[in-house]
Amino acid sequence: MAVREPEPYDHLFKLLLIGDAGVGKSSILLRFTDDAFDDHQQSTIGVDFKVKMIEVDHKRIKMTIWDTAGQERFRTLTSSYYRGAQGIILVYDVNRRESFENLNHWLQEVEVYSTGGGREIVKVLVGNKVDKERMVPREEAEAWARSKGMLFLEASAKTRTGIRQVFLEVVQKILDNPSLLTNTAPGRPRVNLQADAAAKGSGGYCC
Amino acid sequence: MTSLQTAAAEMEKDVEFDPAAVSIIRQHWIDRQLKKRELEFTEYRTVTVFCGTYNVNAKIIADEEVQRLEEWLFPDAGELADIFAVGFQEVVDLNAVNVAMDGKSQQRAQAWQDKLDAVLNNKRREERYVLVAERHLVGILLLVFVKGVHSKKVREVYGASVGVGLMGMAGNKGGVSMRLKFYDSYLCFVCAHLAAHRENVEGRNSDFTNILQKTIFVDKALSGEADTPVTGQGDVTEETRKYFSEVLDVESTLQTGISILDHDVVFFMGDLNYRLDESVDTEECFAKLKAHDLDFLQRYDQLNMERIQGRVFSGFSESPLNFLPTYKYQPGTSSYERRPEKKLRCPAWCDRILWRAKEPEQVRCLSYRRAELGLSDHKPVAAQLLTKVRMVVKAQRQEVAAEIHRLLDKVENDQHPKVTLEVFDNSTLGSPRPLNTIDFGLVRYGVECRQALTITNVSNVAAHFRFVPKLEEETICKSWLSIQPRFGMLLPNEVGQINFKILIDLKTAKMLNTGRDLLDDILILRLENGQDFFLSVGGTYARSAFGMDLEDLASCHGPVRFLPLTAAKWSQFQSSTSTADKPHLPPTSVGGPTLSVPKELWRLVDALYRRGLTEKDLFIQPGVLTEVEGVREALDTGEELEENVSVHSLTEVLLSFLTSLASPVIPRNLLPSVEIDAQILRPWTRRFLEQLPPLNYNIFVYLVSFFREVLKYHESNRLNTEKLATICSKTLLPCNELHWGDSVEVASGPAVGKGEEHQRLQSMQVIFHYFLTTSVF
Repeated sequence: MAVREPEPYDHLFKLLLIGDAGVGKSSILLRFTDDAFDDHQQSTIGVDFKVKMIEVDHKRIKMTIWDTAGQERFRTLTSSYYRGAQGIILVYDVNRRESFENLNHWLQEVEVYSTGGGREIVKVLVGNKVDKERMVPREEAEAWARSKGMLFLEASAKTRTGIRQVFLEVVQKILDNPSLLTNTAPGRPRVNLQADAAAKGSGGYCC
Repeated sequence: MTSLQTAAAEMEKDVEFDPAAVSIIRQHWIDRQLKKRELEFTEYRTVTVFCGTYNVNAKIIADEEVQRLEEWLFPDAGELADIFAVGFQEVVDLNAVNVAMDGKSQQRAQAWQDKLDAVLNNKRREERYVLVAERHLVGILLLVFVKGVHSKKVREVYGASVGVGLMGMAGNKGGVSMRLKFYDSYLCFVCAHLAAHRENVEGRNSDFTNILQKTIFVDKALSGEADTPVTGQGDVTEETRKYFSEVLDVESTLQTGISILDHDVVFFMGDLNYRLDESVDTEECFAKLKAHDLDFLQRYDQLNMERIQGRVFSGFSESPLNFLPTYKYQPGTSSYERRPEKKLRCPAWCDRILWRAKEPEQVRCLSYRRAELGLSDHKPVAAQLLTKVRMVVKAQRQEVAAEIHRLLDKVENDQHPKVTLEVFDNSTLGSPRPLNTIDFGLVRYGVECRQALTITNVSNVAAHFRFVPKLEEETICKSWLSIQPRFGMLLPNEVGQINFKILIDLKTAKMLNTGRDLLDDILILRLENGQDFFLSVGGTYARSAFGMDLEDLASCHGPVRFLPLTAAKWSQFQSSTSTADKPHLPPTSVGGPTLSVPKELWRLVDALYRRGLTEKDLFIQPGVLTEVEGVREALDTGEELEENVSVHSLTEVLLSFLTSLASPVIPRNLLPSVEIDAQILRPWTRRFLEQLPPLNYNIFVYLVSFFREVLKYHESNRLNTEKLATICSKTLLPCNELHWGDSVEVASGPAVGKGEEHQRLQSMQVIFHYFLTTSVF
């Protein structure tokens, strides 16, 4: 069936939230899309996405934001969703040092699995849960992010701090990079992971 | 399939869907929502707008007299205006040449602009003014200046000129207009010169109406940076645009054709030429003026009368006329024109300033007066108008816009299917738990294990689900797992069930026994246009002698179940013995020298020897399923075999044990390649025994000896040589695809056809017969 886009937009961006389990990826997404917070957010057992429209520079940006499972055992599975993304939001928990230490692993995944080795892709580091006690100094995270050519922001999905800013920064950076904008305008072929994966499927589903 | 697709495509065509139309309607809705909530993000700022109008009668003020304009432009007290909108009429003679040619008008417009600029930016004062734009039409000129501090807040400046003079279109009469966005309010300034002559009230009324109707701001912006309208409406076709603007009459949405009355505030100034009603005698008028009875005269002002009747300037306001009529003077004097050689005219308030605000309380007139300049036969008029302009607080507007978009996002996100998954856990008495782990607990060889998951569509759309392979894999799960169904659709609120079954058979047992595979897998359950769920499926495999290699079994003294073996240890072991073409158990598990036959085989044969030799239909009758499972378990755990277990269950386990072996007792390469006849039988079997590997030899001899013992009791157990030879064929030879498939010998050996294969098995039958009936060892 032909895909109909009920939402008119100038660009369609695919963004991915990655990082250790429990750092608050789903909460960041929920805060951004629904302006809500759930103290008992269940852990994500797979890959889900939400659609979000924003206006930046008089351009309508439609985003599909993919929320991934952070558990170690799913790591290789989630990496298969990196393809075609223009932006990666790498999240750690400022209250849990381990989640910061693991960032290198995550970044490696990005380099291996995202389009073009992840060189062009916009990466932003987000230190979430700044409402809690801090175990990772801001300066340290900032320096790490700078050394990896990433943007850096601190945020709290619980208190709203910095959440919108995270997405605005990513979108702005993508808009600034013409090479990322190919295939993002409507009506042109887009990278569609789901279709790709389906083509490889084992059969046995409806036509 | 192709024709179906074509048919679907045909139907699609019949369904009207214009993304541009959807886009326009959506944007309109968003704009309306924003408008409704405007107060939440709007602050107001009060600015002073100066409006002035002066019919200069084709005169120009001398440079040395320019300071006299201050009397008109600047109030006696208070702050200087933020905006100066200054209108002139008759900057040139309204002769035919000037009406047709712009040269003189252009020159005079420039001259007046320079003079105003000089006055407004006089060095004596701190304020600086910048020209927003100039617009003229023959004698009519409009100049708009703003205070320097506001210059960045002026946007979307457009101009328009409309002639309503000779033939209803010449520029001797008409109006020039300018519109602009000041902060976030839209202001419109009009400077008009309407039809003359005391009796021509209707002419003036219709000139006004014509100016309102004909003034459309479509020009390119005159100055100031235009706000780029939000794009993303796709390629709006001319057809769609026309449909919306003309059929549906949605003008503002498409930003075309803005008219005068579309603005928040309209300032209308000019020589409107309205006189005193003809019922007022000229001499009476002069008498009233002498008595300063302006109230009386105002009542007979044609414009006031027409407005009361609702015939013109509807919705506009004007302050009371507390100044003397501005026309007609002897130029250079402050005396009305009463010279005998001139036509006697009744003085009139020709020069007027009115305004119209969408929200009337937003404009307040501070002063409405005239200045006593003597240049022309008119006196200039000025109004200071306090005007509230909107200022959108960007951050607050963004917040409101975000909330509006959130509503739309929710609608779209609700179009995606959502399901909940619940696993029925036997351990909690069937109460569901919302987890993604399907735990089978302890899984034994040959024992089917089942688990189920309920899937509930909690969305308002149909949910299509299916399992998909992981990246770079070809199957949706490992071979020990089966899933039913593998895809399906659920209507809203419909509940479905997905069944999972684990059965470890001889094909999968070997990998699990050796630790090279674990009872652990992740499945991807894809919801089309929705979430991908990762389902962990697993259990603990109860390691079993079934499906193992003979060598491994023989080197294993303790029960197989308790071998300290993990996948990690296994791979470590493998890498240290990379020369071995077959994996064997690590030395750590070896409790001593290799056993002559696997202890599991010995235990079964021993039990049968003691209890079963005389059993009727031995090896022919099947066992009892639960007993078979119990015997297998006892073999794997080293527990005692139950004494009362049926002999048939024991025979069944024995036979299935032999067939489950990862490699057969008689290797494939020892099968006869020629037909065995009586002549070569003896030497062939001798060579056969010599070639059997020691362990296989032990087992073969052990089993054949046992079978020969069994045959001694043929009268009670009803077995015969033929039947036992067949059993040997079925259990000792390569009997499953693993045996046939993955042996090195097959790959390197000569290709054999099916018929040949059959013939070999036939030969083996003869050979088994021989061994069972002849004492060779």
